Amino acid sequence: MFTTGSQWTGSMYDDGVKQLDIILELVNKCPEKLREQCFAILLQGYVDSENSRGLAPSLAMIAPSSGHAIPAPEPETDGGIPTDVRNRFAALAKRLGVNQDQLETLFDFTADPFVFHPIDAPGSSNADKTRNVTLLVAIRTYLATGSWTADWSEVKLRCVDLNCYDAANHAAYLKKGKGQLFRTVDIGKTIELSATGRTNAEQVLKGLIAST
Amino acid sequence: MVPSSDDLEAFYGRLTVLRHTLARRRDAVVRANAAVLGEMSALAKDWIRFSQRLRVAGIIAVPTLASCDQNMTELFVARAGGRRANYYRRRLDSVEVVFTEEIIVPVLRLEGDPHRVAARQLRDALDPYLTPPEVAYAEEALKCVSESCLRAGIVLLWAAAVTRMHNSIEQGGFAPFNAALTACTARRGYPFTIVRGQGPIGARAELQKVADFIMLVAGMDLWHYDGQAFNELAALLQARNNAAHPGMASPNLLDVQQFATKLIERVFRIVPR
Repeated sequence: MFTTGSQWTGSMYDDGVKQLDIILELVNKCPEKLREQCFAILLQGYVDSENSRGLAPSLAMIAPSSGHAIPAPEPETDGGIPTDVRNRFAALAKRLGVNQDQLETLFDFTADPFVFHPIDAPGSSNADKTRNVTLLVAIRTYLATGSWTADWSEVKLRCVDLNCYDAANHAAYLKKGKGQLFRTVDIGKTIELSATGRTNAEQVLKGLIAST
Repeated sequence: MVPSSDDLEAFYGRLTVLRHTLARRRDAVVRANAAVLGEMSALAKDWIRFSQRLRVAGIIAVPTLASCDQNMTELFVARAGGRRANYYRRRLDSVEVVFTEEIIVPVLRLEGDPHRVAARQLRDALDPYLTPPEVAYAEEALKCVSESCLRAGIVLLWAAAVTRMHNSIEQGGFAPFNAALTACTARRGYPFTIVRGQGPIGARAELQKVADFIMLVAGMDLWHYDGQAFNELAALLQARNNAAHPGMASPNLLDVQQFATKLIERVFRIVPR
């Protein structure tokens, strides 16, 4: 049922022999004990560059006679972060009127997926904090996936981490925001933000940027 | 299946109410027909069920589970009554004091694990578009994502997409697919040259031997997507192939989420069921 990668490799590694010669030449310039490691790094670099080249060279060979114009593919990632995610960061930064760098410093991109760990939950009471944490979870989900939703369990866990989790009243705090901040609040289900909720989420984030 | 933190919190609420009820009785003897004994017996039974599921999951410290099991079993054994309220209350106290920190919070951490969160989000996103045969693959993919087996997740998500394409071709009859192949063969240049040599298909078994890439090329005629869509699909197939071949890819969670989003956009929304 599945194809293998080999059907794609027609134009890949075309200059493999030449590149290998160059790699070996470089490796020979290294101290003896580092040669093996150097060879592995350089070869991996070549393989990666061939992979990232992907379809582009092949697609350049497309004949226009069919009427199907096939453009070259856009790069899928930018520095390990998918382009779509980068674009959402850029758009949000623009909406908030802040630098994209300022926005990105709130997130830890070394984690998979990138995470957001404010030191303290914004808000004056546990109820406020719980709702604000939900807004912040939703904004992270939006940046990662494009969906303005907050996972019920993720919200709970963030509230535990930020010391605003009140097991007996957690659901009640969130239900108080239903209709205004949240479109839906059902125990155990994903919380969907309303238009007002999205605006508020962005403002909460902007407040955090201003306070850092 | 691990009990949810919501279930455990509901259990904790019942336990607290029961402890308060018993605390009000101080050291009075609880008679055999007291309603509180029935509630306590039900609570103890529920705990034993939870405990077994938690033990399998391996997320709670064994001594904590053992201690709670011991206390709850003693309550269950003493359900006939005739003991002082303090006897029951002390055992409930022992469970209550560790319940939040040592039982609910670890379950919360498991539920809030980013990979599990992502799997739930992907399930929400995929659910409206999938047929039962596709769900079978998607569910396996999501299990892989939950367990951080991201390459396997990508391969299985692609399998769900291929299932859609195969079923669609079969449902529509093989003639339109063969016509699309013929049309592609007549065109010059890449990627149509790849289709050359692909003979007509007359059965599902033959279709399963057709390379996925050829199906994507024919799909431009069959499902009327444009070159950009084809390009994205080809990139998805490339991602799938890289995930399946050693040393070719190290996807992260965002890559899997993007992969699933593109599959929805380019396959599940476009290719008819």
